[in-house]
Amino acid sequence: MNNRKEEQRKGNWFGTMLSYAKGSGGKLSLSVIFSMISLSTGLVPFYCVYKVLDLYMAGNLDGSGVMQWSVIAAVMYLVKVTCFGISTGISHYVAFNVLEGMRLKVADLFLRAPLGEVYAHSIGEIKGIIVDKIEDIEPPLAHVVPEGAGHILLPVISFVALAMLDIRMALAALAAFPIGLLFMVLTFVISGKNMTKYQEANAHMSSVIVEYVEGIEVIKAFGKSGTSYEKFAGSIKNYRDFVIEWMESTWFTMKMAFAFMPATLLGMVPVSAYLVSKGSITVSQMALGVMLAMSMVVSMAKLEIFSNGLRQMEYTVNEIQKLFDMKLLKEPGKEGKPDGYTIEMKNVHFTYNPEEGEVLHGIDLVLKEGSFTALVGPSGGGKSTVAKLIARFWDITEGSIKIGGIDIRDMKITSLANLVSFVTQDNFLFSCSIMENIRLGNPKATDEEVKAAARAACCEEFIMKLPDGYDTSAGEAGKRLSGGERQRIAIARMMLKNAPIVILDEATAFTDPENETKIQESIANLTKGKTLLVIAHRLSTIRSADNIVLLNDGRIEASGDQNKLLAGSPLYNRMWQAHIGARNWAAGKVKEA
Amino acid sequence: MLRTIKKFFDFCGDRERKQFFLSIFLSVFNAFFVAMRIPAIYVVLKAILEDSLSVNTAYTAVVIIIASIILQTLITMQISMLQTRAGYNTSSLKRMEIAEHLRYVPMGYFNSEGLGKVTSIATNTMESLSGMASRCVMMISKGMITTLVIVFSMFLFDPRIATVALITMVIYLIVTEFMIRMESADADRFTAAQDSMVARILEYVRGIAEIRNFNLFGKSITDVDDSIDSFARFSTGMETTYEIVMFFLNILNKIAGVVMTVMSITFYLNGSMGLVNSVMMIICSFMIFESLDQVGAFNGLTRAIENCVDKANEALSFPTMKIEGKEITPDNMTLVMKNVDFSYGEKKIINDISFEINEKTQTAFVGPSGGGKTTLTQLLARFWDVDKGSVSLGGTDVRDYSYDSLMKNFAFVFQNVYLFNDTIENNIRFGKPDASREEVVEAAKKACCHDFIMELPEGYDTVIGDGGASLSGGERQRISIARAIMKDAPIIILDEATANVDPENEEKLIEAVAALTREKTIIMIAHRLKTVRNADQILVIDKGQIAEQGTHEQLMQKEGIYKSFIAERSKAATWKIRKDPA
Repeated sequence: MNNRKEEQRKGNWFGTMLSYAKGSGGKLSLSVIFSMISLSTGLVPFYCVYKVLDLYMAGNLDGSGVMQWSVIAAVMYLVKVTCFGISTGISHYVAFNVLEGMRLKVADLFLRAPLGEVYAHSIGEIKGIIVDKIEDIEPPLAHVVPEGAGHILLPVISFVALAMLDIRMALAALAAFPIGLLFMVLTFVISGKNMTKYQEANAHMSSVIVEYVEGIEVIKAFGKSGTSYEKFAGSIKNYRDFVIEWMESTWFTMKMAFAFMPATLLGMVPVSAYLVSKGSITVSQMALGVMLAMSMVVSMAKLEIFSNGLRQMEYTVNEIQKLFDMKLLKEPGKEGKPDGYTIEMKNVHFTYNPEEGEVLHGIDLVLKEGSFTALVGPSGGGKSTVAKLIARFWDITEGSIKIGGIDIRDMKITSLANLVSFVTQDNFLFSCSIMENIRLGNPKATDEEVKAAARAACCEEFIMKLPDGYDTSAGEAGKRLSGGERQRIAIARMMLKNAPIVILDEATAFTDPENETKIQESIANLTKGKTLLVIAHRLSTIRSADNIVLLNDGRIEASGDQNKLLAGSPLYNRMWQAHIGARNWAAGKVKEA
Repeated sequence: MLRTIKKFFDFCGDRERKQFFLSIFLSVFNAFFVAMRIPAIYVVLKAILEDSLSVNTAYTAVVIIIASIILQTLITMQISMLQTRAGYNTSSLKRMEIAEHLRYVPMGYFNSEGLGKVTSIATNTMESLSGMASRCVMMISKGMITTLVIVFSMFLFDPRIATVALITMVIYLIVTEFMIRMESADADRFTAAQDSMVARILEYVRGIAEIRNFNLFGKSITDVDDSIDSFARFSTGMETTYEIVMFFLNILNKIAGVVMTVMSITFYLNGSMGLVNSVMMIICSFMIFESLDQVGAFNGLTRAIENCVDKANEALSFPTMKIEGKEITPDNMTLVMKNVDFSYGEKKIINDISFEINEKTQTAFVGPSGGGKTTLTQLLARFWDVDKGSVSLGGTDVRDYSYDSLMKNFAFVFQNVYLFNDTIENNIRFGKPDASREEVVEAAKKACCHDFIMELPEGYDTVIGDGGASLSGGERQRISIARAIMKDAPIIILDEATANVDPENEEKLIEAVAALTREKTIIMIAHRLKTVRNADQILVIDKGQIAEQGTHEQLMQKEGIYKSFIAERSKAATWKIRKDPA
């Protein structure tokens, strides 16, 4: 089914793209029409020249005749240029609207997609798509579509006009075209074989560059800058030689193709001369024919550029579309009201994607309201996944997760967000003041309440040291704040939010050790009286949990309090010993303290 | 426009510049050959009008056209060849220049953001330089010169009409230049508008969890929708201005064509021009501005060309330090820092620090974050050069060593591990290129890597990185330790991991570090209590100075930073979430 969807999308990428801005299709058609009018009116002056020549041949040419046809020609040019201006004006307008529509769509998508999906893309990648990739569509969309359509039409109109003048002349104009085409095909045959080689060579060179640059620290630290540089230079030279050789292999045929394809005059001149000498066309008709034939050339040459632009646009749109195919969370129309804050996971199965296989194989777990549960286990066992599923970072594959008896999929995303505070090591501060950053937790909070939360999270001391205290912009203070300080601001925010369920995902693995006790104190304040779920590596921090759940390979291997697990689970026992052992280690010498 | 072209040629190497110039010179000939089609028409028209048309005339015309096509093919081949060679040579030379330059950039200068930028310059920017930029420069130069050639050959037919063409061309170029000036003024505003949108979008994406967590849906704090909308409006407005200028340029072009036609006819009527010349001029007047249009079409890309050149120059402007010293093998491994000052930007980070580290001792740097611990270790290994004072190894200033011979004495365990996109074996062997497989395995065993490596599908031949095996942070760290063990350097600089790895991994990591550090001089940035306790020398670094110095026992007897640090750490280590089970 996915495949079919993909097929459909590929077929209609253009329509999909236009659908991001309402009414684009119609406006773009208008732009195409103006472009066609513009190019067609461009042919009229040729007719004017023809008329003047005709008058001359008939011996009737005078000043007023010249003026009349010149004015018509000038007016037609004016129409042509104006229509062209209108056409590109509209198409730029459409293009920028489409760009805006796409960007807004991404922004909206991020609100409604599972957070896990959003995080699967790096910030750099997302920025690349929203800013650069989408911007890349603008020039081809604004220029290629209207102008390209016009340039397809123009040779046809010129040809028809020529045919109306004299069919033999029209055919003669195209005489050289097959020769050019033949060379073109040859070019494709020669270069086609090497196209994949080129891509490989380019990819290889890029990877050498990436390694050299990103690894420069290691390279220098190991004293290898000389030899690594030689290797680097070698691959750069190889690439250059390859590309030059590849291009040279197609030059002859390609240039021949480009010389012959538009060589409309090759057949045109002798044939029309012959026709004139036979008296079947007049000299002025011949001149008109030559001008029409020459006008075809320009369009044919431009079509090549436009077809490249179109291909490039298709590629970019399909790239972006991959992001748009992100799964979204479904929201219920009506929602139930949870009765209490007990979390109940029943037979939860979860798969990130089918290729990687199932990650959780049937988790049954109850977190009673107000209780303290800890998730422990080897890395890759599924601890973090379980915690994130409760906050609906993803939807589960099978089973159910209920809070207060209501399935979390039957709650609005906002309602669930109100119930759960998720604390991680990554804490984002917005570029408004510290005061406003904390107030985000509860927009109705007074300044006093914000300050009280800051005190409870042990923030006030360092906030007061900032130049403007609470009014310091977080963006500006950002560089001065340590990871631990940012974390405490985030905790203050959570305190104001006062959600009944708190999940700490490795939040106790602190980034700056000097602040550790302060963070600990603020976490203690935050979690008081809440339904608490903690993922911790340091087993000593969770030894007082009501329930310690040992996850291994996506299954619950054991659960119970510290004593029960120490007595009953060999894995937990090993982990505990390792933890105690690690705490007693010293570099260089292994000594028991 | 001319400025951009000059900038581009200044940027190229001498040989490449000559190739580019030669190719432009040939383009002029090419323009002649293209223009040879006009004489072909001329021959025929003349014959018709003089009533002397014969089969020979038609032959002549066809021969001229075919000759024109063939000459055009041959010459454009030469042009393409010169242009491609020059373009790709330029980019490959610049790539190497950037790589060479990186060797001299102080190591401390690198951070992941800066490196990402350099990578993108060396790959993408250079690729568009060799392709798009050089083609574009050629097109503009060629277009201008071709127009000139046509205009001047028109002088041979009729100076009066040629003058009109020349004037039009000059106006066209002046307006174009004006437009480019305008664009580059707008470019700043455009960049500013785009930056502001990007900043909003990035804030939005980074804060997406918070936005959802705190229900900031509708009134999104980042105003991302507004910023997208106003950027679209800004772009449209800017584009409209250009459209208007382009509109006038097009009009100018076409009207000039009509004027030239009218002139040709009038001159013929009043007898000052022959019929044949008059008809020729009419045909010419429809053609000559085609080349000018070509210049106009590639105009929009001048900004992109400048951008390429500027970016490359930026990568080449990172500060450097001198790395060619003597090959020196120090007699001993004693490191001495004497009265060292160091600033980063305007901020003074190290303020008059002196200390000595003896061979095979263990030194720990402790202190608050931002106090200068990391910078100190970096100065010891000459990741930076000191501003004042000196750092010496074995009695010789580190600046007198050749960089590679200095680096032989150090091995590092960084917090951020970089592994090459290569097999595990080669990654470990990087520490000692001539090591045998056995030696690699030996080092891997010491660093507790062997077991997990053997579990990988292809063992030591498994490729790490894109499309290869993904390793956990702890595993990557241990491979980097195996690499350091392989190097077997006498001085180990160790930045202890702060982030907690899971307990099992941590134990192995500790074992690996112990294997690495046996019998070595150890300098570490310590975060853990136990690590510090056994050090021979503890330096407490605060605000760029040594606040306290001594062994654990000595320092514990003073009421100072160290003592309170230890107290804090012990308290933290025994902490539990919720003292009493609820």
